Amino acid sequence: VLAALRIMTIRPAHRWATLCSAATLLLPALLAAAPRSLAIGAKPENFTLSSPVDGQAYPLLEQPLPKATVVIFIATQCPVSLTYDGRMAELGREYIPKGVRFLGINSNKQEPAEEVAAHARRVALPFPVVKDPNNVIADRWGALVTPEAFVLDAQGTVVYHGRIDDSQRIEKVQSRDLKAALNAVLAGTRPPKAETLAVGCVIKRVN
Amino acid sequence: MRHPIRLALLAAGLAAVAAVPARPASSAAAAANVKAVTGAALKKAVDSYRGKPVFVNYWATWCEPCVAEFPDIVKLYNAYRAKGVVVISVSLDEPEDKGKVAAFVAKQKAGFPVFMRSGGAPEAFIQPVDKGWRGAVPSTYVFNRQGKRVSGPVHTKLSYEKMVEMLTPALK
Repeated sequence: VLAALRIMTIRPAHRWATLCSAATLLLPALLAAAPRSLAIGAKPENFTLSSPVDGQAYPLLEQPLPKATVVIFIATQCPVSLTYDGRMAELGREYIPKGVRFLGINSNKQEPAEEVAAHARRVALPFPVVKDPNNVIADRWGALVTPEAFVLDAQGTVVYHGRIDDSQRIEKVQSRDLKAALNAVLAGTRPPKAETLAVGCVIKRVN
Repeated sequence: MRHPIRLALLAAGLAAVAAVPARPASSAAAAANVKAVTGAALKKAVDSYRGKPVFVNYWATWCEPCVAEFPDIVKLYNAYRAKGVVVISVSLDEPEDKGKVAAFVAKQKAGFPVFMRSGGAPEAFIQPVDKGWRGAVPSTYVFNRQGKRVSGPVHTKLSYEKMVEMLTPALK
């Protein structure tokens, strides 16, 4: 308020420039620019997070490394992520027996651990869902939305990043990108598309 | 953003959409304001707004913060359209949900055009105008008359005051 009053005392000719300068100074605080995501070819550091479902701690990388590791940033409230609950469970049921490890991560600040646990139980996800307090891993990985998937190969290298498939409406899906990436990794080849666009709800961060 | 030049082009283009006259805030007009287009058509529309301050908002009806901030975007448009400010609203709803989008826009009495994709993948729709977009909504940007991005992207719900703060540098 004081700043506003001070600006009003400035001569009109200078008032606009002052306002613009003030706004420019304020803008960095407004900008919540997208974090840079892990690049294809990156080898993320290991981490361990706890699952509110069973209280166990789950590392990203378990020795021996599985044939592939799928990390999906998920949510309990985002309508888009919820739309994919069944598809994520189905992918887990299909690929876990083939040697693929899945890890669901909830980084949303407004979704408490109890809610994460209740959601995972209700949906019967066949893989651990861990809570990422203070969105540390979402920041480190540059995850921006839910659902957003990463695939690591048997060496722990990121080989796919993006969406699960290309339509929220399952009957409209034409490109099952995560599935295609997993099939490629299991076949010892590169995913047909290393990066796709994951459209969804922004991960609500603590800062 | 990874492609500032594209964004600058977007901004420059967006600036001309301001030439579209303000529409009456009736439900029918608002519904008619929802245009299902391809990425190329969106780019063309965006390019037609060259020379105006442009406020761009990517949103969806399923996005809670987007829905929450939408009334303030309408308020912003109504307050600044006389100064030539253009609002470009781009819905990332599924093409089949055009009716839902139209109903929402009508209820909000939005006088600005709302674009949504007519089909295909989201990246084919958005990336012709913004290659750096990473799929998040809300995403809000402001471009000045020269087509330079002066603020954004912001991926959080904006208050009206913050919208004004973002817009102010573009009004020079």
